[in-house]
Amino acid sequence: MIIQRIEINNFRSYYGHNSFELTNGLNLIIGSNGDGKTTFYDALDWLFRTDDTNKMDTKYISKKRIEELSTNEADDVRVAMTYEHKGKSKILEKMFHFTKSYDDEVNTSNYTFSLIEHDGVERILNDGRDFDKDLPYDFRKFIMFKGEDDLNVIQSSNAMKILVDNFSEVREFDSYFEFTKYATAQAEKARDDAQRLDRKNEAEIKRLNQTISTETDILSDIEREIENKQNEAVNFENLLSNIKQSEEAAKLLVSVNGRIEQLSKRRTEIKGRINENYTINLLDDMWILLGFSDIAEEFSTKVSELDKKRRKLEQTYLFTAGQEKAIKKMQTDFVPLPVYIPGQKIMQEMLDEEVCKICGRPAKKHSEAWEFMLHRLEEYRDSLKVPEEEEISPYYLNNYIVELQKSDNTLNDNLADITKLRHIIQERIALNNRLHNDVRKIEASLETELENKKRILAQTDGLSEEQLLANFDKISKWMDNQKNAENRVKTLKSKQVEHQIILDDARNKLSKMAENTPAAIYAKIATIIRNISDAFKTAKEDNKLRLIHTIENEANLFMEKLNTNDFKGTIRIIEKVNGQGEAMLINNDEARIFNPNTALKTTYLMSILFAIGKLLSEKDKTVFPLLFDAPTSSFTEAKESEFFKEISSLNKQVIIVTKSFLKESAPGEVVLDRNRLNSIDGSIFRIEKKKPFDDKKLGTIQTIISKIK
Amino acid sequence: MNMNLQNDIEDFVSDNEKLIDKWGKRNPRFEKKYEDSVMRVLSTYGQKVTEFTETKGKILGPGYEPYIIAFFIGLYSNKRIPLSENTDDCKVLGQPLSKWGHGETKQQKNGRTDSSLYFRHTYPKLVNYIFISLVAKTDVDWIALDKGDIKVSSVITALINTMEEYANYGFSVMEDKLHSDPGYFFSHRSFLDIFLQLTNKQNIEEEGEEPEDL
Repeated sequence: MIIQRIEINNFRSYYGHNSFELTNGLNLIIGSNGDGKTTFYDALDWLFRTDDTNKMDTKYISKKRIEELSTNEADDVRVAMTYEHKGKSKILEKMFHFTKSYDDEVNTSNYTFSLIEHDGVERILNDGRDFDKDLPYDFRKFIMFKGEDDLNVIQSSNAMKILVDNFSEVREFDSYFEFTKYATAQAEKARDDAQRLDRKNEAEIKRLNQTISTETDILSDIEREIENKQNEAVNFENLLSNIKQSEEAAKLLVSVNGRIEQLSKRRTEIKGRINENYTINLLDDMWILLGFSDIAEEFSTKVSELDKKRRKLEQTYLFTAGQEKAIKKMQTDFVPLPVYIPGQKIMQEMLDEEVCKICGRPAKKHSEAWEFMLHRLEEYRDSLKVPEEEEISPYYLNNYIVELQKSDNTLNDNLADITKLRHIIQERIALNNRLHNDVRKIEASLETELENKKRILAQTDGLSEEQLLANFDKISKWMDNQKNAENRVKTLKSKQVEHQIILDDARNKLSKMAENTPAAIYAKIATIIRNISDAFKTAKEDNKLRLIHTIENEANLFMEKLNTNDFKGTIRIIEKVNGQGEAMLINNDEARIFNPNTALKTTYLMSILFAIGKLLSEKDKTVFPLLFDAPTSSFTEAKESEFFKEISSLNKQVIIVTKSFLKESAPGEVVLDRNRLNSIDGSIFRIEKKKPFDDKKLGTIQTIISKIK
Repeated sequence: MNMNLQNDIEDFVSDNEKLIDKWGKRNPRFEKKYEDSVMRVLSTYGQKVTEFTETKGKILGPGYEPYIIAFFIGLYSNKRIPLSENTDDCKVLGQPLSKWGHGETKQQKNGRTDSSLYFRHTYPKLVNYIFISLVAKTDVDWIALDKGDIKVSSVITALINTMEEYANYGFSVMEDKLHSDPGYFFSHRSFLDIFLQLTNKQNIEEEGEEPEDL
């Protein structure tokens, strides 16, 4: 099938008659936002609808045309496609009539949908729904794609089935299946009937039949449970795949939250250690004395001088007062002592030895001379005493200087602490600065973590933090459930094998017993038919696998072409237990690449589409076109050019609607990048809004088409 | 007037009392104009206990705290300004010196925006140092005092005068600062910086530097 022309009349922004003459190969329709790209795609989508839905709708009608019409004037909305299919030229045409009534209401009528076939000069008019014969409805999902999200067709629920049904011979096996099942039952019944005659082995045959029946029941139970568990595993896998993409985010969030908590705690702790109540410290810790040592020194000097002066004055006074007193005493004593008088010590000696060492005469104890000496000694002793009743009046009435002197001693004791104050203060300031620094660092990290958190939350498709954390809990639970189901399947499968052996064994024994009996022939037939049935089963699986491998191989070849100078991995398609397909990229170590970049994902999915397209063409002996709406939005310019170059060399009709190859020449002024377009082989159309237009008025919007090459 | 009389009686009744204790019974004066411009701005001076909400935003507690700070600014600057001779221009602080720094261990809201609570400690010893500095800086005939030739009260008055004059200078500095920047003292370092600079050896040696350079 080659699309030759697409005509769009009065369909939304396509005012009046518009036509695209398409060629086999690459056709690029380039337009900026609002220029009519999506409308082009929607027009075809509407045309291809064969299910009688969305037949007529005023929303399809060009607003400009409606506004232009005068009362009771009418026009048509029409989308038509001229194509060549299997040597025949056909036109698929859908249209309806619209009329503007007197009250400006628009009415639609006269819907027609037809397929016109030209056979030589003859023009055959068919129902438009016959288009399904040329492009089967099922296939459309493999040839028309609206954006990158639409490309993953394999994933859709029935795609695999469509592929298998259409492209493998499996479907034809189904009728054989039913037959072999019936035939097996019949053959076994015939064998059993024949064996019933075997009286000799009656008990053993009965036992074996019992075993066969029990084991068959057990196996069917196991099979049913396997199916349940497999479905369960797939269900959990599907649930997980929905939230799995948030798993990483949730994990990151949990760890970011942990770090935020830890940092906040540390910040609080360090902030608590910052003590900057310097003004309070000046008083409460007497830091205000930091300059006091000079004052203290001044005080000390002053007080010690005062003290010295005080003592000196007192001494002088006492000395003077003492001298006066001694003179007075001497005046009252009529026997002043001669200067040579022996001292107290000598006098005591003379008394003890009872001899006067001055005159050399003995002086017996208690003699007059001895008594005289004793009296002199006592007198002398008395003279040394200051009579108490004659106290010298104190020089000072107060002892305030002494008090000051005492405080000076205390002050000196504390001086060391005072001189240390400046150092202590500096230490404290330095410590606080360090702590502030630490806090700043922590706050910077905290800022980063909060940014991280914002970034994580911003990129989780509108999930709130709570939902994300809830998902995190679910993920591990669901993963456990999935694993449990899968483990159960494993156990069941090994059980299945065991019971199959018992069953096969019983069947073999039964067949053996039939040997040399009239039942032998029936037993043989039953065995043969069972083998055939098993072979069908295996063949069906093989066929399906072969189809999948074919698509895989073809897809990898396309991938090779579309992605020459870049990492590509290997495309792998698997069938899940529930029959759905899944396409994935595999690394050379067989590990799945979970998050390929969008460009890579687009390329591998498109490769699969090309592969399926090739299958379609082989089956139908015709090549189907492919129609994409903006598939390369994630590509870099270089990759895009390379990609289009490859597409144009595929020898396949591909129609791509895109906003690539446009560049801004001046603010708001978008023009084609002709340099880049020169390297593209194919037809190129530029669609744009006709100028001038009123950006508030849809009725002024009209798409115009110009063919670039 | 009453105050002087009372002090005379004290002299009479407890003759063995230490000089510092006699001095401690006195309440120094300050110029009234600083009450609004400095005292009430920085401290809870003049507030009743019940005016709780007002206490937040104050840097200092009772009125003697700004007084101590003013005194030390004067002391370290070694600058005095005699108080106005007109007694109407002056006010007596409510707390006698011996009670200074006994401000209990109460929580005070600090003027910082984080309004965290600070636990205050007592600092009764600080007045001893004030006393010592007054002795160092006041010209008194101590011998005459010990001899009983001059009255204790006159010495104490001389000491108090010294204190008042230093504080008076300190208040003028604080007032100037607040005048040019009402938020000046609400930085947690402002007072400490003043003292660090005042007591920097260089500054002390280069006497005569303007306090504005603080």
